[in-house]
Amino acid sequence: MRGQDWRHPDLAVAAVVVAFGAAAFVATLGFDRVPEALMEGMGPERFPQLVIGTMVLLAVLLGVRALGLSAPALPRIPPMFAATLALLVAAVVVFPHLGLVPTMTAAMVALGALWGERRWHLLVGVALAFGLAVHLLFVRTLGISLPVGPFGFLLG
Amino acid sequence: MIDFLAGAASIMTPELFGIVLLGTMLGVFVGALPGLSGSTTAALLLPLTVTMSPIAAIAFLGAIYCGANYGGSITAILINTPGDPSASATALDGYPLAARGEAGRALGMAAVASTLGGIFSVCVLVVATPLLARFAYNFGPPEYFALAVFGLSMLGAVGGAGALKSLIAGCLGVLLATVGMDLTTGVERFTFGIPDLSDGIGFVPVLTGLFAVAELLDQSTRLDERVERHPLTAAKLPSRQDFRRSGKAIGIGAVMGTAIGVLPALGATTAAILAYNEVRRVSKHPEEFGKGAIEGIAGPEAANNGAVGGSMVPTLALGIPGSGTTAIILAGLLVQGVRPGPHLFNEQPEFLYAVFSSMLAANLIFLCAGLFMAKLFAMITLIPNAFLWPAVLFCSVIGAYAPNQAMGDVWTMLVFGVVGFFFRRHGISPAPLVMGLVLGQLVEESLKQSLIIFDQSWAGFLGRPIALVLFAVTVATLMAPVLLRAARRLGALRASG
Amino acid sequence: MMKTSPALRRRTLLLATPALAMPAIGRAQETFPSRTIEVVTHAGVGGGTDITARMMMVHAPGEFKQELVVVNRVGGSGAAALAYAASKPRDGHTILLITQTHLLTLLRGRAPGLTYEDIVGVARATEDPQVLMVGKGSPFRTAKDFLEAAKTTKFKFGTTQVGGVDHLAVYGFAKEAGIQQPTIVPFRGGGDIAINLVSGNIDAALVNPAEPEAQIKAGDIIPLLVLHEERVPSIPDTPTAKEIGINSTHATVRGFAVLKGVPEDRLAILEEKLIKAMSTPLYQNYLASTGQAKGSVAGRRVWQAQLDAFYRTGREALAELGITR
Repeated sequence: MRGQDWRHPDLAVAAVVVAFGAAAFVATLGFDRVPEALMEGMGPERFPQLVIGTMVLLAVLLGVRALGLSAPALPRIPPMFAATLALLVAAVVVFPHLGLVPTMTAAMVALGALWGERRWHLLVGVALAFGLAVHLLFVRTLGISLPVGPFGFLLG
Repeated sequence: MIDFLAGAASIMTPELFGIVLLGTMLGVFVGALPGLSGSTTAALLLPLTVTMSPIAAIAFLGAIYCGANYGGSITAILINTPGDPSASATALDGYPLAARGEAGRALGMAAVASTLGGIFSVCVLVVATPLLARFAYNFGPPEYFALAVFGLSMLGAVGGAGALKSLIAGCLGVLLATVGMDLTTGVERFTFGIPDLSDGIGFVPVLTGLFAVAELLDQSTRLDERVERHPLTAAKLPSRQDFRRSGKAIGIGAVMGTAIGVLPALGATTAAILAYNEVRRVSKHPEEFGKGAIEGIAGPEAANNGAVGGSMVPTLALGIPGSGTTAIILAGLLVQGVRPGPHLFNEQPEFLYAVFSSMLAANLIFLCAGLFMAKLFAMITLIPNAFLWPAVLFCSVIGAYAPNQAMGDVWTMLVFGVVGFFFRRHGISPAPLVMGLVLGQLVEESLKQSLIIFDQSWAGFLGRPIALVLFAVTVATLMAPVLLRAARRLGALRASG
Repeated sequence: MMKTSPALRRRTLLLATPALAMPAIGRAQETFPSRTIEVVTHAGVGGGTDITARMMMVHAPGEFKQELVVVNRVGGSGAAALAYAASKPRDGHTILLITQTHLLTLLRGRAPGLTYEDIVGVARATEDPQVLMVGKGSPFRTAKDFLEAAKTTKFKFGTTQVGGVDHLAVYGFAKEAGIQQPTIVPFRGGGDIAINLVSGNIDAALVNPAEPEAQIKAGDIIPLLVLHEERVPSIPDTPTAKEIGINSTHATVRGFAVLKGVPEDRLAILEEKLIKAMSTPLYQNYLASTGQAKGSVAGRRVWQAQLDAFYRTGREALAELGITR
């Protein structure tokens, strides 16, 4: 299945949007009921439902139009995408526990290495300098508290 | 105006100039950093200004405001990460230019257009504040509704090729704007019991995701492509021809930005996006937009800095802040014991002149700095990907997390990073989504408020002349291409027959 | 912004980690505070409540001989802030800057694991009285005329979030004044309300006096009735509700609180030092210039009584309006 494909990529877009719209519509049915005394005109679910309806209608149009067309298949997504995304998710999962600055400093090194950089001293040096700069600016100068984690005292 | 110049000259002491210089550079810096916005910085430094004189305090805060609105464009252009939400429209054409190795051209244009937009709005502020301020009173919910509908009617056009996909993205944006507690009923919508969502989906995390994280993910799929960039072309400033091409765009941006800024419910972000649309609509080559059209930078940058002066109008003349940052400036005024209102213009003109002249000075400062540093900043595009993007990621996470310190915001950013990646893969522009998100809340709330005011009767809109005019403009704009085509066909028929 | 020595900072950060801080509970006789005090607010950086916290904090480190930091936990109308405080040891090093919104959130059961009984007031920080106002297009110039007409007419009142604090204030006021419950037109903020009062899109509103000050001065907005014990200095001619025989007081309040379990001696220290920090000219000037009542800063007894009263009336109002969750 290379080159010309009978399935137009827009069909996938239409399908995803319709599925998303359906799920969102179901969610609107679960909104809390508005007490009689507060009800003024439109209920809270009406406007979202209108928008969802429009969106699904447009998606169906897009899909119908794409049925008659053929287009070259989109290029494959290389595994590096998944690896990069996994690294981002891991960093976000970890940072509330290990501290924001340490985690993201480590993530900088990891991402650089993942992307093929092998000059370790440079990678680590840049990441440390960047982490320190962020800490000094946000935490020290501006007084914004960030999760410090168990190694926070190192930054003191 | 002459009074003003005389006042300005007498007030610009070296100390005050130093404070304005400091504020402007600080503003540019935090504006450029994705993690910090001008309003956050102004809020954090507010207690510090208490110890200054009133004039110095407001000049300082005003300079931060001016600088930050320009600074946002720097990172928007260089790394597709709007440092300030108001720069999101700038990224649409700025980043393609930088990716092509013409960062200096884009940065130079951003600096010049920002300054022109900013200076225009300050001039308007000097001349017409008391008059314009009364205008804000004419804008109630029905008028805002009409204005929001006008904005949304552009959705199909904003994303370029594929109007259908743009409309879908716009709807998604509007839908996202409904997340959180409904203003008119207090019911929580699409929050699924997550407290982080009950105040709505944050604007900054969505933007950071759609632009910065999506770009990072996109880069990860193109690591083996080698892009040759040369320091010399990267640092080249815009040519005279670029400016000639952008004159109209700057004019449109400055006027629209100032006008929209005057309205308290709309700010620099809306101004920039609407101006981007308008510039694209009147352009002779709309197909170049989104791919690196220099006017696509000029328009929104003139507009978001125009909105700065614009939003100072209701702040100073009515005591009603026109944006997040002016809300802080207003707090700064109050703490200093300065009562905003029309009487300021009669009772304390020298104070106003000081504010105006420091804003002018701020604009000129960032013009000099911007042009001077554009060459330097452009070199950022030459940093290898394996160093640049990890740093962008760090900034993005801080930017999403720091203001509210809510993990929900960080997850939102990641989700929209993936969404943005697939948007790009399927040729959908993020611009309509951003626009839907900006205007979605306004369109729903102003409609509901209008209907309550009209006792649930749609006919009430008929009694609102400004709203009717705006509706008419909307219809005319939508119909214009159709009518033009019809007229041309008619003309062709006549010529052949 | 906060000045402190690096050595101090190192120790405070070390102790600030949750695991290491646990043993701190129950060592009441030790010097208090012994590490950085966290002030938790539900407002984002730059929000009104955030600014109040930062204004208080300008002089607080001098009083406490310790650093203070603002922790912003936005979300869930205070639920996120309450949850954060609940995750910390109840040793007095975590204080909440609360508003009535937090109480409503507790009332509606939206702060898991916490009830109103867990809130212990320490000191009030701001009190912003509500004032009944109309636009210049309104035919009414005195509260008596307005209230007389409101007995038969259903007016439109501008408020903020439906089901929120301002809405409940309007509801309570209408009940106490014996007028028809008005139609609510909700807006995003006080500025929008002021504009719509001037343009006549709404008939009246309860507003904090500083917000539309320019409009009052220009005669575009007319204050009719102060819902406070005393008259407001900036509008000296406007009578209080008491003066015309209506028992109705409503105000927007902010103040410090801790979660139940903090030892009594620490409460006393917190109260004393917070009040001292808020008695400085800088903070008092901030109060005066933002139109807050002169007696805003108050101690535990006054503040707790006010919280209790609001909780009671809020619970009744929510039940009557049918807002159960």
